Amino acid sequence: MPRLKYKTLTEQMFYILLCLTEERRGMEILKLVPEITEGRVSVGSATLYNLLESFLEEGLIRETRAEGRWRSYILTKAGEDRLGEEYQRISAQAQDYRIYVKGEKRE
Amino acid sequence: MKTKKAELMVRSFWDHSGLEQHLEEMAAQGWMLDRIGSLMHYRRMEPAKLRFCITYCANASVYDPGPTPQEQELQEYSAFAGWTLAASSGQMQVYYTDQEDAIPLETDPLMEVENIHKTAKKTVFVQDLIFLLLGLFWLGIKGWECITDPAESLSDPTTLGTLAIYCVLIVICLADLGAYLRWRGKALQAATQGEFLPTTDMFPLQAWTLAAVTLCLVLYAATILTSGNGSSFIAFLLGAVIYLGTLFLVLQVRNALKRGGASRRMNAAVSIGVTAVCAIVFTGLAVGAILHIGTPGRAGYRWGREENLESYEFHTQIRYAYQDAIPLRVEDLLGDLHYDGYVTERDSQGTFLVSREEMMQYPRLDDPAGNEVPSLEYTVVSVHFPLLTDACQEDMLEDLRHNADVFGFMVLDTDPAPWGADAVWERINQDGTSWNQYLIRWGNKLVRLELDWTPDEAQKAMIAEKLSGR
Repeated sequence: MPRLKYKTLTEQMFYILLCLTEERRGMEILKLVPEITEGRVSVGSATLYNLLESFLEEGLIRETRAEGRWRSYILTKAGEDRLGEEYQRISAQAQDYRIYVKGEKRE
Repeated sequence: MKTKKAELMVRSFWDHSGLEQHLEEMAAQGWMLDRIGSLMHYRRMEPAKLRFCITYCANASVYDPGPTPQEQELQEYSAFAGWTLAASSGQMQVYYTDQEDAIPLETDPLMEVENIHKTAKKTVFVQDLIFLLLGLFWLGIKGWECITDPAESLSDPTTLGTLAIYCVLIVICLADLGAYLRWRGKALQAATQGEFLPTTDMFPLQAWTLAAVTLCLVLYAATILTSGNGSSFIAFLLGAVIYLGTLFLVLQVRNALKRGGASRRMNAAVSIGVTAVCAIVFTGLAVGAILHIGTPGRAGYRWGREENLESYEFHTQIRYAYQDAIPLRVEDLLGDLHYDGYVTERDSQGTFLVSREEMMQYPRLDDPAGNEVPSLEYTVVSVHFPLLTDACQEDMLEDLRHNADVFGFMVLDTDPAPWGADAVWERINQDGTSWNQYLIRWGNKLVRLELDWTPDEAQKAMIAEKLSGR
């Protein structure tokens, strides 16, 4: 999964991992991402399928249940760490914006 | 009204943009994709404005008995987003929707490029690599034959046909791989900006390649058919039957196993096994048939030329007393010998580069009186592409020099004037006696001549008149 090599996640990667902080099925993620982002981000079905496969290969998520075609997933410790790192990165960017554009003082 | 139709899948596996556009055009004309493989099958429907999208399921295989749980999962996700599966073949999954605002199947360009690459490594790369290696192997063998034995190889339609087909094959493999890698490089760059890059349209190249291969095969068939070499034509037909028969059988077996629910591993193993057995059995049958009609075992028998011919048995072999027309006969040189037991044979082959005719006149082998009459044998090579004449001459000279050390003869230039030739070479023993074997060059015509006697000046002039073409 190339983005991980660059230590950044695309929006779609970020929200899929975010959804999997709780055990969820793929279909639930498809519904949840637009809900969380108020329609700003949508995930294509093939993209979701391939990202879940890649996250499994990378060990960022694990399969919790497989009932026929329905599989459920949840973050692993490595996945939680990666999501946390991404949160820190985005937060740092937001803080930089506030300091340099809004004139806030660094905490 | 036609309700079904099929067309060849003349597109690269990875060229999803081109195929999607084609399928959208077909849907607008009232044709919906039904099945996809080497052929694309369509069924009639009301013309509709549909969006098509192709994605690749890297874990799927053409040997799967049905959709894997992963493929079913993808289908469910896609159905939720308004996409319906039209057809699939191995990893390739073709979806369509009539909703203009349906979320695309692929929303992450980088993921799409990587997924195509992951799938390509398992399919198109392997396929291209096999064809490329096979093509280079045969190109090397046939190319080497043309370099070392141009007088024979360049006159052989099979050799030139094989060379042409494998050249085309190599070009298409390299072009396909090159185009793919170029597209991938650009698509990765575009993906870093969050943009999708449509795949390169490979249809024109693929279509031209198909046309070129078809043309090669037609020209090849026409050449060997018109050359009168029936055995070569039968070999060509057998080759085509072997290829198509094996392909048909393997597909039937694979589909039957899929219907029967055989596992992927079992299906792949049986399909590969059937391919190997078919190749061995069919090739064995073909070689047997060619040997039967072509013939070390039945010397003298040539397909299509045995009708109304007298046959005889000699040393347990059936021989035919051919009476082919040849341009130079023993009688032209020695006058009427009052002997009617001669056999004359003429074998021809040719291409647009070189033509070659082997001719011989000899007494029937079962005729005791035959020992008393002279024989004549000559090969006429006509070079249609003058730049090749020197190479053919060198090849034939090498042939004339063959085994010189073993038999202790030399090949020397002799006076070409009595032959009216540009150059003449002759096999001569150390003691100066002649083998009566010559290589004669008249312009772009080369003649290898073997006589049972030493020709005088008048006979040399007669040979020139009959064979030089001047």
